[in-house]
Amino acid sequence: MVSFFRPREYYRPKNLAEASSILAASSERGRVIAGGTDLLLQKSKGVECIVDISKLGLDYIKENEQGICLGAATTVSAVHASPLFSSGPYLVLSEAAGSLATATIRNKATVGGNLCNASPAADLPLPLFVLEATLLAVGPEGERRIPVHEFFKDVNVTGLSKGELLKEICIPPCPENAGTCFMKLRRHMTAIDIAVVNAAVLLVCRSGICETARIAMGAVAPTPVRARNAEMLLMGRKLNEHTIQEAAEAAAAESKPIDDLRASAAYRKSMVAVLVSRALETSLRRCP
Amino acid sequence: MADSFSTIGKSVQRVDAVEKATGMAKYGPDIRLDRMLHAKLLRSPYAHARVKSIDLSRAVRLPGVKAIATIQEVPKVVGYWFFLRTENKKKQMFLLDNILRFIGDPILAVAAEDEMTAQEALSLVHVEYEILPPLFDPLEAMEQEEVRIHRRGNIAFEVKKAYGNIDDGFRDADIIIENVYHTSKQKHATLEPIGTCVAHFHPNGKLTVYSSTQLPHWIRVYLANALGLTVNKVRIVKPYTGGSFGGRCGVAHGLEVMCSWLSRKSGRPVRMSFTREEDFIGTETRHPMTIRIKTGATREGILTANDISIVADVGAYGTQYIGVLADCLSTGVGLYKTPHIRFSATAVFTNKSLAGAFRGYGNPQMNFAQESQVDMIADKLRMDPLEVRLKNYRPLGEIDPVLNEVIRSNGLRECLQKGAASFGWKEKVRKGADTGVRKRGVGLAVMLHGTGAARALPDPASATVMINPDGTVNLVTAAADDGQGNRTVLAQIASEVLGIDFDRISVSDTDTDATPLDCGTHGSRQTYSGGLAVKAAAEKAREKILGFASKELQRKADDLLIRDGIVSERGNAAVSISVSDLMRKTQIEDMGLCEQVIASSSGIAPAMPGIYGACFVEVEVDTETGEVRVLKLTGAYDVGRAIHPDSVRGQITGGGVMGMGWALTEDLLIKEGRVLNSNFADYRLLRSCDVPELEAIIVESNEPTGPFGAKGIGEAGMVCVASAVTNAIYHATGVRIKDLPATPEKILGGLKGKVM
Amino acid sequence: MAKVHISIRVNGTRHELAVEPWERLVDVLRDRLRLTGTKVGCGEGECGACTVNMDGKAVLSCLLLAATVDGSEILTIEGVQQGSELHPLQEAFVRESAIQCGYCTPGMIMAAHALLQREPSPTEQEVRTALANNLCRCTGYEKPVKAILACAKAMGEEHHG
Repeated sequence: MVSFFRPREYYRPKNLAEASSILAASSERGRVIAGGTDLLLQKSKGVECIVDISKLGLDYIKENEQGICLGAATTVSAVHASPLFSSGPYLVLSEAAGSLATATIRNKATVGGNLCNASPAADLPLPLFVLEATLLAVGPEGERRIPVHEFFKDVNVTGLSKGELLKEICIPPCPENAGTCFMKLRRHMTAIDIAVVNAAVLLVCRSGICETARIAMGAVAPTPVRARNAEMLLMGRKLNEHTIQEAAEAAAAESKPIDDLRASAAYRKSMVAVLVSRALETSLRRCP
Repeated sequence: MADSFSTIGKSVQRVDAVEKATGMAKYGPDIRLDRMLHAKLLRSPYAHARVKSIDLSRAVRLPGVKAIATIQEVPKVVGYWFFLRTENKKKQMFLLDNILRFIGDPILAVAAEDEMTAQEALSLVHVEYEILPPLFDPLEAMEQEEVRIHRRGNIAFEVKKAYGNIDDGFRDADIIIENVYHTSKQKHATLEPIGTCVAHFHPNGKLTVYSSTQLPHWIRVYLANALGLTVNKVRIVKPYTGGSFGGRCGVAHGLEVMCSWLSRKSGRPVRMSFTREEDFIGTETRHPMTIRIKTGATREGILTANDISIVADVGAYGTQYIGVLADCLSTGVGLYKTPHIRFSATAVFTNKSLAGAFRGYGNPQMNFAQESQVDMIADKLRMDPLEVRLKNYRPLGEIDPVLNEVIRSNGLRECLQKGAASFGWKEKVRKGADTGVRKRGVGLAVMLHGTGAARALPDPASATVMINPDGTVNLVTAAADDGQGNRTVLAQIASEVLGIDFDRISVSDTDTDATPLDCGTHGSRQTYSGGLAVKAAAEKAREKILGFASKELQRKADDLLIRDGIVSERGNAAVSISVSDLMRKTQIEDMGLCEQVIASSSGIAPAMPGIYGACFVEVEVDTETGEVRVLKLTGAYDVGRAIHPDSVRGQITGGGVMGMGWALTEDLLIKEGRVLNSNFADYRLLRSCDVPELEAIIVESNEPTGPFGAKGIGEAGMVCVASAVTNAIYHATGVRIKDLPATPEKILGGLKGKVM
Repeated sequence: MAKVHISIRVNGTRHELAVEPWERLVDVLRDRLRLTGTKVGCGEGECGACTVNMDGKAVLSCLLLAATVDGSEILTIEGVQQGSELHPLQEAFVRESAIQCGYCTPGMIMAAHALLQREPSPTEQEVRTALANNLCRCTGYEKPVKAILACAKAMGEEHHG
């Protein structure tokens, strides 16, 4: 009944290349640790080898012409507190970061950890989806760029191959005049919970007409997903109560939630429509 | 109450606050003894099975394994101290057989040099099972004859009571409302998991057990019987306890008895500490109940009839079901003057984890059903729910038919009035329905809960007061404080009676070798029953002090008083001696005397006075998602007298939040006998950000039988909260929740017109 | 199964320890250093009874491998008081009757301690957010929040007084 988490080897590699080669050698028995909050929660059997990347200088938030780059070991609390994300279109990232677990967990949990754990209900992938971020992976074969929407393969499964680890998350400059929003439905307006349904939206509007619509949903499929049909319904159209409702319902139709402890599939499907509609309304209000 | 007490009614600094604030307080899991072994339980993977054979050969050979004990030799405790009354009944308390009755039911325990070895040894044990058909639904189990969870069948206990004539009652009714209610399997979820035990069987044949039990003196007797020892050979030491709420009302299933057995076998101290997961799956919970209730009332809102039929899910083993069912009578029969009542309650075994005592016992469940019914009656008659309560509650001076006792104190009217005023009931209940997605509503409910269990159960309360050579006091009591602060309250009572400063009173630790027989902490009894014992002992001690003072001061004892540690003549402060000087003389200076002032008291309380209360709740419901947010909760409770007001308010706010959790988010989800949410991620407790504006109002009705007029509060704060919450949800949305918890899906379903 | 050498400072005292790869910080504190004020309530980072301060931040010691905290500065409940004087937070909890069973108290005080270092005048919402990982079954959070706010006010007055 009680699983015993008993890794036998612990490594503090001096650089990413070394980390990568240890991971490659240890295969399924090896795990990266940065903040450790998911690793020590799950206590998976068969984890025998821990590779500590928390002190390899991967905690940074840098802005340049290419956009904003986050080191994979940047804590979620640093993301939440960063002035770069506290207003304007990047607000969606701050909102998602602030909704993740609790303040205490956020002090250690990392952006990379949240992505690589690849929970279908994860909060941070959604803003990265609508901001169309690119992930930088490092492995035995060198560096590789992965668009965020290709990173997630299945429940708790990413596209990282043997020996690869996540180094950096690159967010391109945001389209001008974008309004964004992140929303999370929990159980009973309780402040802290894994999402029952979560969603992120990015809208660009000119004179009330939608030029760009990006909608990402979580906890309603094995991975986070974009609601492409809903997005297409909004493109080039006037944004009002009617079109927003239509798009929200399309997003619900595209979702594939399951029944689980937290909620039923039917409830989740209905809630996708509610959440996406509310997120669209808020994003629209935030469009400058 | 404008009395001039020196410490009663003051929120003095608690006797244990600094220990806890500094991390110095030692709880069960903090205890380490030399050469201590670590034990782990092998738990049943099946909901219902017979153990055919156990092969320990590989396990015993594992280096580091020192002892193994199985259920083939170690009895399970399956009753409560009520059963100790006769030899015959006592035998029923201890069950020795090969049957496993729930997933998680202990099969055996291994004690080894460290936890890892103990865990590994479990994996080397080979058990052969005969799988038996399980029963999970109590309604099904009670009709069943073929599948018997216990030898005597699946019905643990039945009680029927009738008052008046139920048919007359419904004939007199203008409206009749009938419904079925369900309540959930709530877990105590104390911050310190239930439980940790360190047992040390000494070479001289004495057993010392460190356990955070609520009932140290009773489990002393349980363990003596289970291990075939005399009571004097068993010592229970209770360290600091991280909360109980009824979850430690005896021994924990598979803990203390197994642990003691292993210590005897191995000759070394043994520690067993349940993980949080084991707490969730293997220790007691609230009794889920299905309550069918038919209530009749006149068009003036006077209740005429109540037909109540309860089925309580006991789980695999019962320890408290008799008391739990009996407790439903408080709300079902005692609270209102309803003249015609038919009450029937059945406790049924199922193959799920055991149900036991939990704050309120059976009362919150009954209250949920009853107060929903009364709310519906008020609604149908378009009467203010508050008015309906005022019209029907059983007032001061009447006989409570459940206890056959006159009601000597009843502050319910004041609770309703003060609570309503503070909450803003009148304005909030009359406002029209909200338009828009978020709808607000208010609800109220009232409650009655008995203090203690005098004469319903063996309920001894004892205390010893010792005055030291410097006039300070040692108060000796087995009060078993779990955090409610009873040790502080008892010291306040002693202080007030003796006339000696509160700061000069020390309270003993809870150790059965050193403390006299006391039931312990349960049933909201310590302030009242424990307090009466302390008061009586302190009064005797005071008499003895005055006896010595009388000789010393050459005055009649009746003419002397003690205040602030000084004995003086009434109206003549010049004739005085400090208690400290007097005690030095009588205990040390006078070598021909050397007599300490020691006084004890032991007995039961004279009554079970009712604690009354009212809870007012305001909610906001998001009608698109079904989510409920509680905006405000006001609890007003009649506690007779608040000896330590902050502690009383702490019970009201804590009980309020626990009641909110039971109403909205807490449920142990069990599928095919397996607990699906045995962790805090999915067994949802409310957090600091989830809590509304909380108001705690104390009403004092001065119970004549209580110490300084006090009654209890420990359980009361939870009893009617869920009822108020669901009544508020109805007021906001028109959705009536009859099945706790009131989840968003149920509320949304109700809004869409489905049956709840 | 090689042990990992770590050098940490706990409550101002340096410790050189050889820990197993699987040992959690909470195990090192409670079992090796016998600092049992930090509690284990769930082992899953949900209840907050294991909260300590690491390099000034509130962290959950049951979710930290000891091997990864090499070089850190750790403060536990045993280290907040100054000699025999209670820390203002401890005093506030005691004075405001914010302690019932006391099991959540060390964790709450450590969470509040980190908060007040970062934000000396928090709002009630900020206090509740800082405590969101600290479950309490006894108090309903009412008095602990009040105690922390009262403490912040008192410390502010002392500072400017």
